[in-house]
Amino acid sequence: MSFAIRTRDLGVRFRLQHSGGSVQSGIVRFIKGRQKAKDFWALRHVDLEVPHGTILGVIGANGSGKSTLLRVLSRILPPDEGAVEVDGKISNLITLGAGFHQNLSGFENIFYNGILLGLSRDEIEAKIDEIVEFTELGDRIYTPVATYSSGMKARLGFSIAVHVDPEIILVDEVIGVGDAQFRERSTAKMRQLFESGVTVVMVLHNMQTIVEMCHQALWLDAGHPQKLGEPTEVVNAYLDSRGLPPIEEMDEKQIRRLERQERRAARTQSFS
Amino acid sequence: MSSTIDPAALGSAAGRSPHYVRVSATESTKVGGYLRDVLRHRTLIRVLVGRELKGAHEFNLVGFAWWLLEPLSFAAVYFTLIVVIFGNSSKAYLLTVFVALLAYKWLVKTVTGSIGTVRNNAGLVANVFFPRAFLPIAELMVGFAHYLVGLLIVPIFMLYYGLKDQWSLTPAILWLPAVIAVQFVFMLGLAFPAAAFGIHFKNVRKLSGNLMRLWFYLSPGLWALDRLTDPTARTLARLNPLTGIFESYRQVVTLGEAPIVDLWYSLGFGIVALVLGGWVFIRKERQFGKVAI
Repeated sequence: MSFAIRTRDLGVRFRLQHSGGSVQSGIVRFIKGRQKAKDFWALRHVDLEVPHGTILGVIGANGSGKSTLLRVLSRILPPDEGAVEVDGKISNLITLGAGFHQNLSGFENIFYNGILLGLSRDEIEAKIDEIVEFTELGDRIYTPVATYSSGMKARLGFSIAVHVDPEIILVDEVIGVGDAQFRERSTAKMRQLFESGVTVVMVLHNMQTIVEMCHQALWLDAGHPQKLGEPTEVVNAYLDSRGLPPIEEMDEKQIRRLERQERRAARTQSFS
Repeated sequence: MSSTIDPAALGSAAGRSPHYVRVSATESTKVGGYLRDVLRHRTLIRVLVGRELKGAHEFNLVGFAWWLLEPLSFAAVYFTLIVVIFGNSSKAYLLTVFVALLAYKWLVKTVTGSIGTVRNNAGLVANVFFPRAFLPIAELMVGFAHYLVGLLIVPIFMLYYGLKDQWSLTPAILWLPAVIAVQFVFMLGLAFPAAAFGIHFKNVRKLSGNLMRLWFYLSPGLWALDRLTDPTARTLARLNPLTGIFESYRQVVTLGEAPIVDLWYSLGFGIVALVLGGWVFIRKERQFGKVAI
């Protein structure tokens, strides 16, 4: 079986001292004597095989290693244990518009961001009209990104990322970008991409979407894979662990509430 | 969990896409693989440099004049200090000083820029994969662009001192690219360790700036090496790898002579620093993503 992503005994470790502080605090630390670095495994013993064309949804409480998994797969973080194999061109929708330069216009940023995401100049030129149109920014595309609202930036980032012609897409909860109308269009675009046979690994907080869209689901718990397999089963096992009823018995209101809770938790975490 | 993975099969299947990559905890620092990544992503260097320059400068005539203003105002400061206040009138002095100052600015920009580059690009480092070596290289290239623009002003000084019969055009000026090339290699050797160790230090910008200035004053930029008559002082000065570079600029531009032999020492020093610094950098860059998050 050909695979798009395969990991073997994958582990990523954070050493809390890595977060280098100021020189002063370093000197204080040195004088006080060497503290033992605290190790924290954000991911450990992850064995995963994702066949081409599979949509894999990743769920888990916050801090369970979902984002770290996406970062290892996209090579931002190296494995500290085990190995990762990725077979295909990756587009990474982990953070939209990570490479934007504030002083440059949205139009110029399309080039910069596109190259950052692995496109060539010619490829971008061929797609520039399509991208600009998708952003729906109109003439604002020629003004500096610094003047954009966060929603406009997200629209620009999303439009670039989905036009990269990826074979593997890593998504970290970005489908809900911009206003309601754009959200609709972006969801439609994602579905269209998904149906074109790309491989997708996505972190989602809406359990219903996982069940509807994904072929497989992975539940991570404190960096360890808890369950991998059929989405409904995995989602229900996760819900059960949180003392919640299975997904079939939840109504839309409950699902939304759970999604909001998880999102809020994720956001608080990313600010800390 | 899929427990059916045969470890021996990892990394051996056929029919893969050209984008196939395997990263493991034990092998990912191989130099060959690293260079392959560098080649694959090479357009990114232009992007990083272009982004920096475009963000800082308007690319029209006024923008260009503005760009020249910095080295010119720089020259004015030293003209006031050296010629007006101290009354130094040695041969084509301002020309020498200006060339030295340009080289020094390039050095400062590269080293202090490299120290902070991973932090300043944290958004990129935490969210996009690319060989992190591009960051210090981009710092070097941005400084180089400014340096080259600064060189455009040099002929003004040449003309001025030429008219005053203190300077004449000689073929020795053809050595200039060689001296610049040595400085380029030398600074590449400084940029990698600066970026690799810079991640540990948050607030050393002013400190490093002053240390760089001290280093410059200890190098024969504002003064000539033959002013050192004491043999011990002279030997010490020649141990400084910048001595060969600054003294050669003086030889080539002002005096119309070939670079001094110490330029070889500077080059050797630079190559050793580049190999060691590059090795340290590749080993340490694995952790950059964690620091940036």
